[in-house]
Amino acid sequence: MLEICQVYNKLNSNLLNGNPQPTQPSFQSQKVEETINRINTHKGVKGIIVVNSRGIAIRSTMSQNDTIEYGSLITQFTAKAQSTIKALHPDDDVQFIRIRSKKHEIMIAPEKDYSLIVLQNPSNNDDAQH
Amino acid sequence: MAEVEERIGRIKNHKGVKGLLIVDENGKFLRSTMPSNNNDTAPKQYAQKVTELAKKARSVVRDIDPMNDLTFFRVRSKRQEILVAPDKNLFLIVIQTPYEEGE
Repeated sequence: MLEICQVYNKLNSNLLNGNPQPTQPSFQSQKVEETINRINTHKGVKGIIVVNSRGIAIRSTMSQNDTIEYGSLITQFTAKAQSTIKALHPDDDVQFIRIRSKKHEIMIAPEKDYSLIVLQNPSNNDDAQH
Repeated sequence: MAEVEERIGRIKNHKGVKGLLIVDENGKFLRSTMPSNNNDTAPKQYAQKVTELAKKARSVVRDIDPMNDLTFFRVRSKRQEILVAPDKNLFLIVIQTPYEEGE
């Protein structure tokens, strides 16, 4: 799980960084693809969605219907979580959200302009700790 | 009851735990270990806000699949981590300061 968090942060910083190599625009997107693939091949991962601040999916490994459904519900939820955290401490910010249900686990890593959503099978392994 | 108390004590004494709340669906306290005389946000506000958020999380899960249900919920922010374990009509809320891996 720690590996996934590190990968999320890396993916988000890939997405948020300005392109440091303007002559190689495909470099950044290649890194993003590589990171998404790495998460995707992790055991138990069912899907990955990257949404923008409006909740529109810009990248997804899931079907279109699922992507739209998850993308919009989760974006709304993330906004609610952020406003809850801000209401408790105005200078605080959400870093990570984990919603675990009987059938799966949804992990959300929100950033300023994008959110990364990963859906995985819930795991009871000891090494699946944050 | 003793077992409940023992569990509450065990969680409360865990490293990093700032407080533990047991609330009902309306955010009303049933049990709290948080002090209410410091400058931090009042436990009551935590209870209400977090309960609302937990109910929203539950509805997200059910909207996606009506046969599914929320089992656990965790929000990590810069300052703290809030963990919520829902039960039929109750929510167990634990607030802890996040600590680095490698414990």
